[in-house]
Amino acid sequence: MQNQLALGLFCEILVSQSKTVARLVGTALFFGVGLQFVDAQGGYAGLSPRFLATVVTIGLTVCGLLIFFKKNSVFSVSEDAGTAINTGARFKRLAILVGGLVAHLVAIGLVGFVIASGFLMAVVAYAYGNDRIVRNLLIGIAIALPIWALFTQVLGLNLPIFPLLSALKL
Amino acid sequence: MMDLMSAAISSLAGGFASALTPLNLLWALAGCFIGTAIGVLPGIGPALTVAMLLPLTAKVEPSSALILFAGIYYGAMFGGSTTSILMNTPGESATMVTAMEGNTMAKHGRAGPALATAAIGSFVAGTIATILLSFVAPAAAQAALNFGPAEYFMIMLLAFTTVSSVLGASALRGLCALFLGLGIGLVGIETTSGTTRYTLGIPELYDGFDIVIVAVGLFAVGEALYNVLYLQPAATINKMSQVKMSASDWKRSIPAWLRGSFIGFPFGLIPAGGAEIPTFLSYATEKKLSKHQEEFSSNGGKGAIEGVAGPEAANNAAVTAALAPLLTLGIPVSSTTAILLAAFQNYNLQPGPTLMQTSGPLVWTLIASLYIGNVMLLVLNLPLVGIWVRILRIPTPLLYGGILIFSTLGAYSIRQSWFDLLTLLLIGLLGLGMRRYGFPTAPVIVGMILGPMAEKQLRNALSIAQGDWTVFVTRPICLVILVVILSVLILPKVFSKKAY
Repeated sequence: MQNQLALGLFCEILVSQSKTVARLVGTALFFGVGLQFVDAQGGYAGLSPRFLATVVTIGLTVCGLLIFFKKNSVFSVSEDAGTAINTGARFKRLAILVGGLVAHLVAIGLVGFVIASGFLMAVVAYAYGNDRIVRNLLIGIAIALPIWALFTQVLGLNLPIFPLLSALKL
Repeated sequence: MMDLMSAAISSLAGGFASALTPLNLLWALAGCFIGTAIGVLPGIGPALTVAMLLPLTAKVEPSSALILFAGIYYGAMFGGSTTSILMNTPGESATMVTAMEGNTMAKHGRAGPALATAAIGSFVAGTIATILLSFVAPAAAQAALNFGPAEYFMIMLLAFTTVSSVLGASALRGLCALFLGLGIGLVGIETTSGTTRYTLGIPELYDGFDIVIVAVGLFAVGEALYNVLYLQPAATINKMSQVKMSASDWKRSIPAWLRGSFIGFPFGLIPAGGAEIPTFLSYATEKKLSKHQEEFSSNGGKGAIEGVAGPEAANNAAVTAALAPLLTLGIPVSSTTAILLAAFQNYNLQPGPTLMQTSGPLVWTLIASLYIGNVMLLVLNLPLVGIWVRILRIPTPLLYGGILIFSTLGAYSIRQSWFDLLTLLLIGLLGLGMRRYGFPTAPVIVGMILGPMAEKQLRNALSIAQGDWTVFVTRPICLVILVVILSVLILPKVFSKKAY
């Protein structure tokens, strides 16, 4: 049993490590490919806008490779991360939370900050294991309303209360 | 020197006049209150909180907003010790010693004296460090006035080295984060040539990524996403006892506070890893000097009060001193000072040698508010400790719901665009990945802010030197900074070994 757990943890680290190295090198590749679209005129200093982009490309590539080749990897999982490895339920929660944030960014333009915040509170609380949806929605609205009042009335930020309504009036 | 001191005293008097206005006092009180509350809550640090409140910089006066942020920065240190002592959950590595010794005291029914010595020690150290800061900051700014583009570039290189090598588990991870930040900072129109870089033809990206979105995404959204995956079970809370120290407690605490203050301050000034090293050094010193060796938790004792007093003082002194490199050189030495740098940036203020000249009253108001905040925190902390403990009862789901409401508010209020919320989410996912694999997030912010500036200074320096790169070693100040950079890379390792 312990061997299986150790093997599982080892696989997780191995897979994730190579994945993240790939992500780093992939990011470097993005900046590297993009270099050709950046102006290369150096001026007096002999330094073009391409210089820093090149530094970033080389830096990310070298860091990615160093991580990959470093023995006794400094790239172990962070200390408290090991506790929840391979728990599908937790990833489901993450998916709910990310889904909630996506739905929130769509909803905020229609129903405004206050109602969208109530919805966001309900989804976040659900993702964190609290399923009293209506109560949490109301709590979210109760928190968002004074914040909305403070930021719009006192601090002068522009946050429409119900954009859809204003759009319909127009 | 005397001239500089008398100028500092008269400027400080001006700062007090501004900081003591009713409105600024209210901002300071709000900052101290929010700071203590978030310090008490495990997992929510001052960097995250200041990041969430960055949108305030759009409308609030610079002095008021910076007073608020300084109060949060400071208050979090006070609040953090409460959680460490009562729950054994240090919010950051610098309060690990407090958790170790203070929690042992609490388990043996001495939570009250442990909390009292931590709070009074923080007050003593904070006050001593603020006094020292009042004189060190102008002297450093004066010295730095001789800087040209080459020196500024080297200073920024020092900032890059500092944040990437000391803020996190390894220099390699820090460097990865820094390059990522430099890459994010590249996006948008390059100011000198006017050419666009990496905008992918998306109009929203022509102005580059907004610092508020990146800071809130990495610190707040990343934290909320991480905790839904890896949330730790809640720790048990030790019972409170009366917050009173005996005569013996006072006798043992006072020298420890003073020693801790003078150990912590120099470590905050130099970019050598924030408050972690001095707290461990202070603990080692107190353990060596104590006549009550048997009480130390590492010796199986009931917890020694000087083991809480010294490190708490060292922590607070270092945290206060860390404002000096930020204000005078523009170098952030911790995550929170990196976010404070972003706050200055939002006001088009560049912390550095010229800040004292261009915005002297603002800096002195900020320093004066530290004195005031210190007193407020002492008054707020001890009598209200019962209220702070109650904050721990806020259910985690609602806490993170609230954090995300604030985070989305910050991003959406910039220009009411769903694109900003999408960016916030994507950067939050980046923050989750970074947290998951132990990459520090502060270097991203520093790279993003200082990257374009460093590029500009490098270009100016090379234009003046007609493309001659040796300018960075032939100019004496540059050479000194180069030596400092090498020291930053080597010294923390030496001190860490000694401290442990």
